[in-house]
Amino acid sequence: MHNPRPQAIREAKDIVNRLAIILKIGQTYSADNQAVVKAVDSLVEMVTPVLRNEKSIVIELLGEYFHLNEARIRYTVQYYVNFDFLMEEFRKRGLGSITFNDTISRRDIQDFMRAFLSCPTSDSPFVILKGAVETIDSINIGALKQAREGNIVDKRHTLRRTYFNAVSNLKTVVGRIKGGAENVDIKKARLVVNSLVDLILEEEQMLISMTAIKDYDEYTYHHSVNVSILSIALGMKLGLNKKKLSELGIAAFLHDVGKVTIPDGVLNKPSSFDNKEWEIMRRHPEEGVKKILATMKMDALTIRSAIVAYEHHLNYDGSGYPDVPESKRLDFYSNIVTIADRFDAMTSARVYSRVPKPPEEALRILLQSAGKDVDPTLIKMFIKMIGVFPIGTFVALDTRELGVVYRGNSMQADRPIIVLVADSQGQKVENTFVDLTDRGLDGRYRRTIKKTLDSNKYDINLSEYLLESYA
Amino acid sequence: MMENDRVNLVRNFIKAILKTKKMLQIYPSNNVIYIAAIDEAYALAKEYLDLHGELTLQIKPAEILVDTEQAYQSPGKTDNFALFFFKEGIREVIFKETLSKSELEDFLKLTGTDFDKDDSGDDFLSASWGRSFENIKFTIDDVAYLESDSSHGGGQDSGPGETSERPGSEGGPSEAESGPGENASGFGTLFSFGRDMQGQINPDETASGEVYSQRSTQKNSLSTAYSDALVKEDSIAVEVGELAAEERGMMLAEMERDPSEKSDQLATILVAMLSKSSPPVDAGNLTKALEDLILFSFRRNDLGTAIIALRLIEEIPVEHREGSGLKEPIANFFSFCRSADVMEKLGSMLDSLKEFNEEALQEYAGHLGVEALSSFIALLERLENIHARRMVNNVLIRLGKQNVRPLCEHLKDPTWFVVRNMVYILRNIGNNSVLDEILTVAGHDHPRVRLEVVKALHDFRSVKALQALKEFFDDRDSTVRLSSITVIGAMAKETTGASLFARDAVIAKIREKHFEEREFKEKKSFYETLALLHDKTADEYMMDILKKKSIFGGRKSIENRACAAHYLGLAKCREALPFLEKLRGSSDTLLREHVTTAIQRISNA
Repeated sequence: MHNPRPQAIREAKDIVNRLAIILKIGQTYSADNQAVVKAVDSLVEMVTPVLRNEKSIVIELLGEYFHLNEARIRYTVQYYVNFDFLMEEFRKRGLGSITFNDTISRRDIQDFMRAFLSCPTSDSPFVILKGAVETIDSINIGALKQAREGNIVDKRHTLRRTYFNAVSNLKTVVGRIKGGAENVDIKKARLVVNSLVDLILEEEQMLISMTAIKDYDEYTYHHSVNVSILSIALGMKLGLNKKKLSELGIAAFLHDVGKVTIPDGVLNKPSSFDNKEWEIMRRHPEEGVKKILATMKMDALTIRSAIVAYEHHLNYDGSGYPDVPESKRLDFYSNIVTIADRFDAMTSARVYSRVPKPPEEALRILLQSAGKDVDPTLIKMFIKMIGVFPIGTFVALDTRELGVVYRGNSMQADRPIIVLVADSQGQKVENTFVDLTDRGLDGRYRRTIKKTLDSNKYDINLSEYLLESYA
Repeated sequence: MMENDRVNLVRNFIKAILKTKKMLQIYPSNNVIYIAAIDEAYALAKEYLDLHGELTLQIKPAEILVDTEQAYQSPGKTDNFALFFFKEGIREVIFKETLSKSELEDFLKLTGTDFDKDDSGDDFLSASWGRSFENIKFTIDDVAYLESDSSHGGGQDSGPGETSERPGSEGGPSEAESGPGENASGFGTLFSFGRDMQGQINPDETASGEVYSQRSTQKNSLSTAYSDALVKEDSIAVEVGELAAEERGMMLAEMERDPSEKSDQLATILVAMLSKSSPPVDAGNLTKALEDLILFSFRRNDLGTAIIALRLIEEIPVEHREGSGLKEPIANFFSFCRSADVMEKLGSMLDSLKEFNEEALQEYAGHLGVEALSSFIALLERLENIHARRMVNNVLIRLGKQNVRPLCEHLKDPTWFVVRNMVYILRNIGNNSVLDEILTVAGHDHPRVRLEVVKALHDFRSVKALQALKEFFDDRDSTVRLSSITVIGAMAKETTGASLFARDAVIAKIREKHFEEREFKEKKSFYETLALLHDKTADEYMMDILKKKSIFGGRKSIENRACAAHYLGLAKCREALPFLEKLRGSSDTLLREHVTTAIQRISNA
């Protein structure tokens, strides 16, 4: 069980967000500007009760995440842009942490803002900033602990930005559909999905790693984006061209849109459904068709999306729901999306009491249902794409080390790249990657996966490992 | 080169682009003007790129800049090249040094495409993306993805002077605050990471289900994991093996089989949903969706989807179709399929296609039933393609068998070819009761209508029809007259009664005083028809004509004798040989030829 935390700690993301806002506005307006003052006062109001209890607040940038008093702050769609901005500003200045001590006043924040924004971003910026902040009693700063450079950081940045853009866009589209808007423009959805296609074509494994994290709020939006990514990745393996990948991606993006019609009480029910609730739930594929057709212009893409929305809970053998004639063949895209949908759902924490399945167990279940629930050839190709130990699988090696599968190996599916979590003595390690294809001088593999473990059971924070950079 | 020159180059390039864009819409790609326009635009682009390298155009709503210098300007909303890109979210257009002419051409074609009318669902950016330009790139305003929507429960907290500006856009920052819970979208905030194995909610969770990871406790979890791993049994990895050649083949076949057009699949789904729907509103929405789908499929020259929809609807059990709120929506749907709008699109389809599956058209009409008669008649009026008209005629013949009245009513249509088509259709329906209706247009102004009536009379085989044909012997149009004698001859061959009637009618006509004034060809056809009926009394008459040598008759007299000779030859009248021999050496070519032919026929018989 986690230690209880004061109420204010739960506002950690709000505190960091507020700081980002102040610094952003401060780029345009002076510290005495009304809007700036308002934002500053709001921050002071947020941190004061925390300081009363905790005595200090440390906002630290480690890797790709902010932490507040050593607790990592999860990304959310709404704050993503501001967090991203703040991260860049921190990095430009070599700034690793800000500590608020004892009591903080409006003036302190304003002074800090001035010092921060006037600090040049070249030639030892941190030293200059530190000098400027020294005059502020209640605020200390620390240097950035690890400098990250190069293309891999940019790529991860692009990756994350694209992923969250997708989630944000989906929220917008779904919100409009739910609101009954006519002619919902999915132009931006297309742009977003096209970006996913581009990323998958370039860095398939990196984008798939985003689907493995599952460490976010608003499961359903992330689920739809994950299904889109996995579907596009599988489509790419099948050799679909860009246009078809884009179509497939959008259809997958919207596959669950029918859930907007499910009452929250049913959707978020933490226990099993009764018959009536189950009946309501089973309607969402048909509701998805209605929503898509009511709100999107009739064109080839809308048609495909409607078909996938209808069929994604149908099994390969025609069972499932909604009821269809036995002779019905599933649409090709539907077969793809079904696999992606089930895999992501099985490996995600859900509102009801099930715990998520480890990825390889999910694959085993899907493989066992080949020919009945899922297309037998497609599931094979999916497994080959995602690996027999998919990204995010928590594994024990024959060296007694523990690790998380970081990147797959299309040539040798059982020899992925692992990011180590614990050494052979069980001690935590950081930023250590091993390639299971590596051999010793005797020609034998140095390491082999022996067992898989349930990361949820041991509270292993996948994002912490999967978003590390592997050079 | 001075800075001014550089910007001027860009200005000229943009002007050339705009001019070329227009040319591409007017001229085909092999036209010299089209080619010259592309060449000019590309030459300007290359000139710039060779001198200065990459060209980046910064896009504003009313202008395009090159390094802060204005290269294009247009304040209005129409024909605004800058706004075109700006609305797409494009903030920069970058032409790389290795730009090719074909890329520039494709780029210009895309900028000139009306994507609103395009059914693929593409827009400029997605079409450009699909084209995969190597040397033309766009910088998109990312923040466009992140529209905060008040329906999500988020508000705006912006700086002074800004209301709904987004971060990174012109005017300054703004940000969104979250509401107390992030499930305001109603999409369902599902639980996130952090429940324990009993499914109990972690007390640290916020209303939005946020959980913080704690590094200190993770150490404990890790040691537990390590310990457990030591004792856990080895896992067996999922094995899939390589795909067999057969599996690969099946997958490829599946992909090849996957049609690009999916309207028929959606139609099947919509009808399945319709058959299960209960509130009338639901059924109404579904039929509306079907209507949109059919319009879409017609634009793509696809009649199959509509047929599938109609066929499947008719398969819904009658008692269900008639009840539970389906009756009216289904009736409306069928009305829609018969509507003028749909028929117009069907007409465009029929006129535009070289080949059209007539069976499909017949099936479509069959599903719509006799209520569609008027719609198809109206369609017929609009069609330009003769094959299309023929097909629709066939449809009307089939439908008209159930109810001829609408067709008969259109016999009064002011348009002659409609009337003619109606006559044709009524004739082919084979309903004897419509003879009187057809005869109402026997005196129609247009000869082609009267001609059609003549042809139609053949199929009725009645005294009335024969009488009417006889009237046509004196029609004011020679084609009609010729046709009437041919038709009456054909009818005469079929029955004795008709034969007698025809013989008397023809002889009576030939004997008329002014008959000989007709054109030779026409006169000959009367004699020919008579010959087919072959009656002895006519033989005597013909021989008398042969013998008659009129001093004053002139050309007409000779023609008559030639016709008589023609008759006698066809009738193989041996008794006429001596008379024919006398005329063998006639100085008149026409007479001589016909006499000679007649003698040969008789001799060979």
